[in-house]
Amino acid sequence: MVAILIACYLASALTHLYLLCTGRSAGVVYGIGALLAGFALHTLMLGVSFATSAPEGWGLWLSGMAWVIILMYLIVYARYRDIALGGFAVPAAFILEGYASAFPGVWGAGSIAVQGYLLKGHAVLALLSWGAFFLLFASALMYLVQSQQLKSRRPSAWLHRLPSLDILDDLNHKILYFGFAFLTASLLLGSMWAKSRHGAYWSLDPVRTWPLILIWGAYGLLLVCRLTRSWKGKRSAVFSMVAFFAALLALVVHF
Amino acid sequence: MSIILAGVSHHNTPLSIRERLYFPEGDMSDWLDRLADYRGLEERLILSTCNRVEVYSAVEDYDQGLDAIHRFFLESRDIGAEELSAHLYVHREDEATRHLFTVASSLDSMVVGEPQILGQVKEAYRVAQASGHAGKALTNLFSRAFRVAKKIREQTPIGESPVSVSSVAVDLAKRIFGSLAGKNVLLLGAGEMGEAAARHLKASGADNLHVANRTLARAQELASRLKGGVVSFDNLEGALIDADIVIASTAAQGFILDKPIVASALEQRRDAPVFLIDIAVPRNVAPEVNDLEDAYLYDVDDLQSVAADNLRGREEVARDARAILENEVETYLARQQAEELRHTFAAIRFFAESMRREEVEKTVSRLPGLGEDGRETLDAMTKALVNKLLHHPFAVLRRMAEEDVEGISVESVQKLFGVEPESDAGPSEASTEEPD
Repeated sequence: MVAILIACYLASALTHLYLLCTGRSAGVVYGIGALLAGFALHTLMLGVSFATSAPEGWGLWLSGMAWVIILMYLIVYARYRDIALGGFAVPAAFILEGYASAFPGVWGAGSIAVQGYLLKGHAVLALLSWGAFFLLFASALMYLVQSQQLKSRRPSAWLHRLPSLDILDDLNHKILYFGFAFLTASLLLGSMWAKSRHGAYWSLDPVRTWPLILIWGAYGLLLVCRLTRSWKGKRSAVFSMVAFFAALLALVVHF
Repeated sequence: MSIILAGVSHHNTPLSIRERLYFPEGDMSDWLDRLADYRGLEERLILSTCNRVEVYSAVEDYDQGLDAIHRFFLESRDIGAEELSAHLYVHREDEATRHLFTVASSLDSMVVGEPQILGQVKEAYRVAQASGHAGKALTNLFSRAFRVAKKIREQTPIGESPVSVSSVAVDLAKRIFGSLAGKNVLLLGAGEMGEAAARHLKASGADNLHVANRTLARAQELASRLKGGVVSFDNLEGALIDADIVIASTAAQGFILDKPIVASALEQRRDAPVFLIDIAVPRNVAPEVNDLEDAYLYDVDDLQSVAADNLRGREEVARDARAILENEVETYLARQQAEELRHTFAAIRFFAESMRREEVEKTVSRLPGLGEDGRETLDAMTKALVNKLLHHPFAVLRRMAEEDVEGISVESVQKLFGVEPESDAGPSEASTEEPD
């Protein structure tokens, strides 16, 4: 099962990269078809493991992250009919899923067994927000490349392979909304779990909690700037990329 | 039956001659009727566009066909024999197939990849087919050509990037704004180039247009033509705030939009990008404007070099396309040849079988004492004789066709046996089984 799933993601990832790098459109149906098949299988497998047991091990969480990224890409594709984001999303999902299945317990199976609905909810929402932030990073990167293409006044073939600035900025905006909402909810559930377990909302080691608060603050600031000061385009894109790298660091510290 | 094509194109013939050979689209079927009066052209089609005039025909006799097309041009068009021979190119069979595939795929066009030619070829075929001038041979050839053209469009990005200044501007605008619907266009100046660019943007969805000109009357006149509004030239700063796309084409000496003006407009636009198209010479917009974060400025040189790059890009893509095309030509010709071989075998077998029957009947009538058994034996014997006689030549021919050996053509075999594959005594009645 896992082998079929990984094969589907690999086939789709290769198709997406090929389409993105050549600017052709003839194979889109295969890339999306393989992705849908893999995604259906993936959904089934994750559903079964969540329903039947307490999710355990890093592998499952990486797999969940891959699932979230594909889900969001499929939504974006359905909305814009553009495969450029897939050039980032599908290979990332393939790598995550491949890693998850190759080393299911590599960081110690069961070491982070998640029990209780609060913690389960915290983890699932965190996955959703991290998937969103990855796509936010990808859309920001594409925005900067596309903007550079246009600025240069001698655009290369990438001009036509990447979506328009307007679409990329719109993506940035919408993904930020979702990512921030999920992150907020995830942090709330996490602190409620801490309260139920340790009797205090912020009883955990400050080294583990503060980076997350900072990341929440950073994405929150970006959102506020977009809403009140109409931050758009390049400024927002650069901020999204910096925030993503900071968030990766924070995640490492958190665990 | 073989395919022949004769014509002129932009490659080797100046417009002054092409226009004299041109056939107006409206009465094409009348021209085809006239062409049909010339002996030797079994099927006929005329492709007449501003870049080429070509006659396609299926003929039995190549020389007779070519002569007919020659006379048709001389007698129906205003051209002398010498001038015609100097420009007319003639292709037959493989070359004709390759040429048509190349034309239909837009690889022979003046602007490689331009989309109109396929439609023009389709229309020419439609007229010829509807008026009964295109039969099986041309239908086979043209429907294959349409499929090849479609395949090349699907498998290569040929024709995707624009190659004229106006269409490059529209393309860039789409790369910035996505859809142009609802975007505000500000046209500065009432020049022709500016009007053309504005029309192009409008046709692509940017329907909100304002004109500013030093002479108000000209601005109003242009605005009414383009169905847009007028803004005062003295309030450019204000108009700039609302404009997503600015086309500058005034005759002003010196810059009318400099960096501070655009910067202050951008500030009020709150990071919404602006696309400035400066097609005026001398330039209207200071080049430093492009340094502003959300301003994208292209002058006439920039647009022209993008167009030239795109054209070069198309030529590179055309190389890939030609490889696909070559493959298709070979497949098509191989299939045609196999088909023809099959028809020839069937005709020879039909010819041999009817001769055998005739001889058997003669023999039977001369030998009245021959019983039913004897007759059957005679039948079997003559059948075996025919099969054995044909077996070896058929096997050799098939092998030669497979290996593409020059020397014995299907025509020479047909002549040798005195058979015509598509004669009235059709091979359909004959056994198409191969000799054992």
